[in-house]
Amino acid sequence: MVDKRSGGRVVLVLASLRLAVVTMLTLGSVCAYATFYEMRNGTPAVQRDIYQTPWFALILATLGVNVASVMVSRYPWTRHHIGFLVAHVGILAILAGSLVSIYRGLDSNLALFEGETGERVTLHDRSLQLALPTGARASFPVLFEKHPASPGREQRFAVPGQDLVLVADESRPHVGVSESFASAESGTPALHFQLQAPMATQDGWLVPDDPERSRLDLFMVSFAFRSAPGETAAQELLSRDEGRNHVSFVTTPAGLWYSASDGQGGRQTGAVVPGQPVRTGWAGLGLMVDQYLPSAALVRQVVKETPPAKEERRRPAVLVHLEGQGQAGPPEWVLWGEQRALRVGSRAAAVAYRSPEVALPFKVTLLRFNDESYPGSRMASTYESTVRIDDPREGSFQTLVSMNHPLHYRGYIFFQSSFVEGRPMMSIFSVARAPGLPLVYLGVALIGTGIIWMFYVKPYLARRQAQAALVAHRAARETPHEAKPAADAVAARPRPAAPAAGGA
Amino acid sequence: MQGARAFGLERIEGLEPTEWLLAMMTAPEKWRSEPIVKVTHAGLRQAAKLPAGRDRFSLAELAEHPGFREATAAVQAKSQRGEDLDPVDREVADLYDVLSTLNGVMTGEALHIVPQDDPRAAWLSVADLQSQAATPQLERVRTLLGAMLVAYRDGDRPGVQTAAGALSRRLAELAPSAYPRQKDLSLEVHYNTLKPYRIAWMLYLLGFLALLSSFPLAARGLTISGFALVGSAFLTQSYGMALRVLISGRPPVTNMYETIIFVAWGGVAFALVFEAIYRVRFFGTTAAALATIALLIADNVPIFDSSIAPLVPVLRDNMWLTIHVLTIMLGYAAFTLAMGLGHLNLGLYFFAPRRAGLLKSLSIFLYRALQVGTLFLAVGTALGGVWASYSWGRFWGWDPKETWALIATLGYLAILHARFTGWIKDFGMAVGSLLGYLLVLMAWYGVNFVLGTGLHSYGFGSGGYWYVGGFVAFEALVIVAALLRRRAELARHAAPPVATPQPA
Repeated sequence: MVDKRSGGRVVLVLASLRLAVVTMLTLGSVCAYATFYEMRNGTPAVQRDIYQTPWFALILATLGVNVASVMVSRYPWTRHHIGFLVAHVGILAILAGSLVSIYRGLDSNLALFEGETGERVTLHDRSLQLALPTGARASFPVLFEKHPASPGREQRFAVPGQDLVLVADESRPHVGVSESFASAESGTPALHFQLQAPMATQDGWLVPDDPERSRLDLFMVSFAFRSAPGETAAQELLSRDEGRNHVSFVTTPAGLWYSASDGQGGRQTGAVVPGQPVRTGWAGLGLMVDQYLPSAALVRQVVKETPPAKEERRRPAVLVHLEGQGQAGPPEWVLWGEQRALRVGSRAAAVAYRSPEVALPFKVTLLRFNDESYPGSRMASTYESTVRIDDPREGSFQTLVSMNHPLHYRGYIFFQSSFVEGRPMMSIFSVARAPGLPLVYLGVALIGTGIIWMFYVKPYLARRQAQAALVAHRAARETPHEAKPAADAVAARPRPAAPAAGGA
Repeated sequence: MQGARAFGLERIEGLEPTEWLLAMMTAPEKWRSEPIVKVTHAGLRQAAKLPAGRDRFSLAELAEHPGFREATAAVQAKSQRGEDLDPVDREVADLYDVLSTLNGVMTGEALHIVPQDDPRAAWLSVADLQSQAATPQLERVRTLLGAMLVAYRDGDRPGVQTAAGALSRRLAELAPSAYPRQKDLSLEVHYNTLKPYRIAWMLYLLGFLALLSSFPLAARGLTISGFALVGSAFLTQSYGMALRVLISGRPPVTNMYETIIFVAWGGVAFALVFEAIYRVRFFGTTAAALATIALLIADNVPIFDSSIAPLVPVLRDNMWLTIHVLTIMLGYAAFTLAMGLGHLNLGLYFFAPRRAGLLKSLSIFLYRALQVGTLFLAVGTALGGVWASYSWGRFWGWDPKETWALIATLGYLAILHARFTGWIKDFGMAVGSLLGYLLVLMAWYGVNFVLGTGLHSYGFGSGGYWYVGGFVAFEALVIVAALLRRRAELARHAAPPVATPQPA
């Protein structure tokens, strides 16, 4: 057995069943609290604040050390320890397998439209990414939700190999963005309108011929703003019909004109006078152009806004600036998921706030996404994606990925995670590598076997052995030799063994 | 009718479902004003500002009720904004669904009985029939339907039967590949008319009473008849479950209702196995009582949906679904039995603490049940991880359902380890079996009905808090009472005898 010198005593404490009970109860209580925490604050928060903290890891580590110690403390092991060892090795295998998967594994997403090819997967972390015109790139992991940046507590990221530092001055969990136009020396025309509807007033900016800003659809009315070089072109644009309430603005060298059509033949046209109501002839809707700027530039303002309750709906942002060559550049707000250009002195860089990506050694193309419904209903019965893998090393092949039938390829596992409706459909895969999984599966099998052995096989064997000993003892007594005391416990009970002997 | 979940299988004003369906189709105006909708949920009544003093309302009344309409609009706006609904919101939404369905029955919109050739196409409803009389076949269906309703209105019951038979044949002919086979339909009708679980609980109750009275009366006849009754109940219940499996094509553990039935079944199965080994009647009596209660709860508490519905995609993999869920449910079943035996133990500590031999035996039996439960729950929890790693790509994600399964496992493991080390004795184990069961309840019911988050979000419901809360309070009382009684008993034994004449 374990010797009682100081090392032995430590093992005894670490191996004590009392520590086991305390650890189990502690782990259980923390987890119970965590589930309610999750109900209140959402899944990302509970992961960040409880499950992925060092404290939680410490509890699990204590469990592992306790289990390992109790096995060591029973050394040297005999046949009696089989079930006990198997079950507890199983626990250690699960813990070890999980560790392997955490450190050497991958957990990511891949979203593809039908027809799209991807070769990078997106991780779940957050990072600031910097790209220089020279092609140099850098990626800095950040966790502003837990370690926010604020004036006085900026976070600095030195770009390796360059005299350049990216500084995060302030981070906000959620911001609102308002875009407007202001007069500028050089720019495009822009007009701002207000639409008064019975329920509410809506407004918007329009920039002629701009792919993003020349059209606006406000559900009740759609708007378009175009430019025309002359009278005839303008007339042509103004007489277009959209089949619904639609206002066309046209700017010509001569001025600003409008045409309001209701899609059923009614039409009003005229010149636009900023500040004056625009006559549309529509009942209940009032329209006015309150600003017309012949030369305007986009002004983006990041404003405070109350964050939505669900973390997934928030729009985080970080205020960053570059430092280099002894100077500090102007700060810019970078919203989550977007990229902006930053300058300092003569240098420029593109900075993005998004999830880091990891390259796959092969390409994945989504050929078709199919979501079937149960016959005669709209309830989804299955989601499945037909994908083609193009691997420079192994060649190409086509296969189906569906719920509960993932694709295993070169250690990567592709799961059909969800999808987004639309034309085209977008299929979302979760892409994982779990190198520790075989160890975990082994652990599961060992735990099951070990428990069955401890609870049922061992007592059965013990009973059989005791009965055999009793029979031998009786046989020995009937012979002329002296009675030999039974080697084993004579307390061979055909009744069930008491609980205390049911364990290891 | 109460709650969308119990729809369609209950009698209304003395009429069986098939009858009231016909009645509502024939005389919708009358039925609109019949007070057949029972609204008892206090929060819902308050939110909809329903008048106090009565709980039955008519469809017309509720549809026009301004308070209810406001509440419905508010809930719809909330869900459009993507916000989470609280339990009262869900009750409002559910009542709205009930009323919609009811209305649909009266207008025929909800009765999709006419198949189309394409098996994926939605079946036409009775209302669709009125508006689309395109083909001669649909004409014939319409005529037959009309004939059936007329016959019902005129009280011509044989006429109704004839028309119904002809109608069903005609519908089957319309789209033979899309229409279910007569065999399958008969099976489902048989299942609904037989109501096997109702027969089962009555037999369980009789068996329980017989076995219970066999203890004081010590009559072998009672024991035999008791076991015969429990055995028949078990067979009837098994038959009902087999029918359900045949009809639905999957194991009967996919919603709360089905799991309650299964746990009751598992508990009785384990008890019968234990009886075969030990022959003591304790297991059988306890299990019969628990099964009676469980089946009664399942069929009479309106929050449990006894209908057979199609599965969401993630549940549609048979093998891992079967293995994982059945294992967990068998664990819950064994722990339910253990909880019953724990009550038996505590009852004995309370009322007959001197009967040491009986107490010892009962403790052993309780321990046996705990062993079975621990084995199944521990393995089932681990298998849940295996299923998750197949379906979602990760073995363990601290999802509330899996976390609570782990917490329950840890709780029982802590009890068994504490018992093994002598930290608690038999009494502590009995108390532990009740405390552990509260964890099981949280994992089984609480996660779905109280927490309401996580990936396991396909079994969600609301309500039933009073029942479960009441049970928890009852358990707390039992535990406290037993602890106090135990302390008093121990104090009495520990104190030195006072005023007892000492022999010289």
